[in-house]
Amino acid sequence: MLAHTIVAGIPFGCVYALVGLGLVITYRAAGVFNFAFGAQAYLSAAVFYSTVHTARWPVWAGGLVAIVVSGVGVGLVLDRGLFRYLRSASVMVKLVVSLGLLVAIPAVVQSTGFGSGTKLAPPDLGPTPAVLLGGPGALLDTNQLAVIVATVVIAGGLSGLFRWTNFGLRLRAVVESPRLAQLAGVNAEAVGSGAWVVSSIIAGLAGVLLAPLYGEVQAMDFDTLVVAAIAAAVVGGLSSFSLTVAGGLLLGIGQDLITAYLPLGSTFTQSLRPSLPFILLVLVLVVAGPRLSQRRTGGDPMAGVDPPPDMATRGGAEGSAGGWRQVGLGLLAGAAVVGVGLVVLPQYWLFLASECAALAVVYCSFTVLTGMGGQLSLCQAELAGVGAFAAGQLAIHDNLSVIAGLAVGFGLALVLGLVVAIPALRVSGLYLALATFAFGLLIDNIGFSPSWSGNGTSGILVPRPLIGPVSFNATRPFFVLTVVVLAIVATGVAWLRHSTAGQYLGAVRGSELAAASVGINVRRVKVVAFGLAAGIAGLGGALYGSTLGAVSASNFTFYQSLFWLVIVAITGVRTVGGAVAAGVAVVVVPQLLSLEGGGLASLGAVIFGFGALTYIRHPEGLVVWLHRRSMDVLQRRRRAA
Amino acid sequence: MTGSGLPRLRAEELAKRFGGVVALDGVELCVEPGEVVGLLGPNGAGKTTLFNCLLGVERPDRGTVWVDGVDVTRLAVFERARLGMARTFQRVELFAELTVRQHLAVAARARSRGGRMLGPSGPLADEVDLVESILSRLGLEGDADVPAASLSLGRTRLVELGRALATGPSVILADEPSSGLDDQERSTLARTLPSVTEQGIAVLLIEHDLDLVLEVTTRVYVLEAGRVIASGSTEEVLEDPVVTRAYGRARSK
Repeated sequence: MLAHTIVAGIPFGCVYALVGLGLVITYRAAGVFNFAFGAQAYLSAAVFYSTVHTARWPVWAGGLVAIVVSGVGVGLVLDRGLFRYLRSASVMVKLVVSLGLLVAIPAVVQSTGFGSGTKLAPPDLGPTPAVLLGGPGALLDTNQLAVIVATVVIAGGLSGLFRWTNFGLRLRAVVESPRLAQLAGVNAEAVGSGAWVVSSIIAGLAGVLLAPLYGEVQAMDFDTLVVAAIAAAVVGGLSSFSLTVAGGLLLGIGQDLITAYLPLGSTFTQSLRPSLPFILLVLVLVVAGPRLSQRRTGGDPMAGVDPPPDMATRGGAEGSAGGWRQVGLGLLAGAAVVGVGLVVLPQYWLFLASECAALAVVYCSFTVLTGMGGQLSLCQAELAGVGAFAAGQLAIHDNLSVIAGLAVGFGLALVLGLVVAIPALRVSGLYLALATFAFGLLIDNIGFSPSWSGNGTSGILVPRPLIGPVSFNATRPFFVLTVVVLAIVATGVAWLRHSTAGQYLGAVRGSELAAASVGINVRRVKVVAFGLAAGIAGLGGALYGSTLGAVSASNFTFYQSLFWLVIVAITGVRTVGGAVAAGVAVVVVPQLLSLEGGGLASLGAVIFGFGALTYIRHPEGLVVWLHRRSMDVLQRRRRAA
Repeated sequence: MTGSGLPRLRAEELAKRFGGVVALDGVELCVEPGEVVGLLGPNGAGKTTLFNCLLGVERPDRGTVWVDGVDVTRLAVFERARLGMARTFQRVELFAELTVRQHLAVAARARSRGGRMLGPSGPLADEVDLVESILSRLGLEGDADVPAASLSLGRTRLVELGRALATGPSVILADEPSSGLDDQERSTLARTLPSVTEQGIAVLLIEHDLDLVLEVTTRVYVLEAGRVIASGSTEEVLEDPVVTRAYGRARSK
């Protein structure tokens, strides 16, 4: 029985290991943690499915096209066209870009028509139907065997490549110190591209191998797959191949052991199985995180030598972050828009406007955490969900007004935010992003399933608020309410920016070392940032829930967290204006696209995904950039006149 | 701020090992109010480890550190800073994006507010006075509203010094402030460093440029292999054969 279970877990473990290896390679050699790896694999799986299943090509031909054309081809395009310009960019820039690709690539695939309809019964790799090895009661079928063989070949090949070839030697040199390697005559650029090719082959292969294991080709599976692979890669410290493989196998087998030995059918078991990777991820990051996050820069002997200034992240947005006059003007303009909107807009668009305002409140949490504090979080959507479910449950069961629910949502999310701050005190940069990501997945998968919380996929109702005799049930008054809440939060954020806490946040954002040296308690500032931001997300989430009227866990998934961060990064993470613009964009753009008869609906994700590329040139965000541009134009006109 | 009679900075019996390597071996050190004291020694002598132990970046295995007579040995970096220990960095550490004036303002705010974060919005009158006086003392008025990161290395070292001064320090630990500076910037630094001690502030200086050391310090400690091998007036110590041997060469004349 035990042996059975262990063997059954190996194929999935192998896939985790394989994808983990792909992540490790680009991270080691090109400095990019490729969140879009799953999207790449999905693309290959889609090509494989279309060629073999739909167009009836032979398996080998479809596989070859899927791996070489869509795997290697896309990898090369990404490296040559994009990531090579980002070698020395900040963690945030690389993260936003790869998250943008994660959003955009599957949307591109789906807009080609592949996404319409389910893609059942992907082609088998060996005989169709897959043959069980050794007759009935056997452990593995031919598809699974193919996965295992491929993993062994790839892992062995990679180790050999790194250890015994010239390319491997150069790769290791580049990993240690790209600049030192270049001084020694190694073409670090070419080595980086080579790493992308290798990683993309793995992505393509993973797509092809996985298709039959899942029984259906859909983008979501590949995203969750990457989560498990991330855990495997982190077990390997984002650098060790063998430990990554071990981590992947451990996860695959562990998941099967859970299913085999814990009571079947309980919701706990059901949510524990997919959650194992996040639990492992959180544990590894909290325990070994500090050691891991110091390693990368510590080993580079050139790290201390005249580091090139990161012009892209400098931007100088501070000046336009605005004084009180701007806050007043913003409020006035907002009031004017609201007044006009109330008169002009039809019911449906007023409803959408409420949605914009509610989401803008959620996005203000990015303004505080990332814009002011320089911290990263990939779990803000889940925290918003906590607020929404708290407000809904209290309104349904305890007749609590949703207005009070907003406060409870704020408080509850704030407390969770303090929990998120724990890893933030131990790790930073990419590892912090990963830790928050894993934490969000935990909330999503375990926290939202019980009926007293998010009630799983069925969700719960979140009523509109009542204040005394005044009901905000109708669209118009509710719209006014959402805008008032947004105005309060926006004013609060503006006040925070100029307060002592805001100054400390700016200092910590600039340099933790220097902040501590002038007497700022960096840990405490971070805790405050995470707590406040989480609270704002929870408050906004409660408002958002009340806007929609009914919400489920699917409104607050990890994908939303990533997607929202991308959008706010595009419009501007530094200012409240950016948060508001993001709220408007995320609601209005899909509406405008679907005006044309619905065929363009999936283009929204394509636009936002590729829009993330603007972050490279304009980390201050499009709102600030446009504002500055228009000021420049005005000034020139004035001078000309 | 002055007149307590206690040394600004005092360390006793500081010891630190990394595995088998003895980085500090019973270092004693004392810096009086208004003094500029040099800390010399060849690379690997333990200067940086000593600084880190004094500042709280690292915890010594043994020994005690006092600031103005207060035992700070078990305190964190930011707590020592609040008790009057300021520093500048060898590799300049700026608050990215903040202007020069904002650099000083944050430090002044940290000095006046400490840990209370629910503070007032906007600068307070006494903070503004302090910041402006430091800006003019260091000749930074012209660059006050420029992002500090856009300045030359020499200017950024002055910004760091200004930031340290804005915390209202008792003692400033300066880690190789002259490294990477050109002649003109170096002479500005040499002029500025002694002037900060006018209010009884003490300076402890790690420096490889012996001419600068001779110019600005009155006393020096020489460290070798984690021990103080010589200390006393700068002139005498720099002529000491023990010191010239440790350095491998005499001071350039």
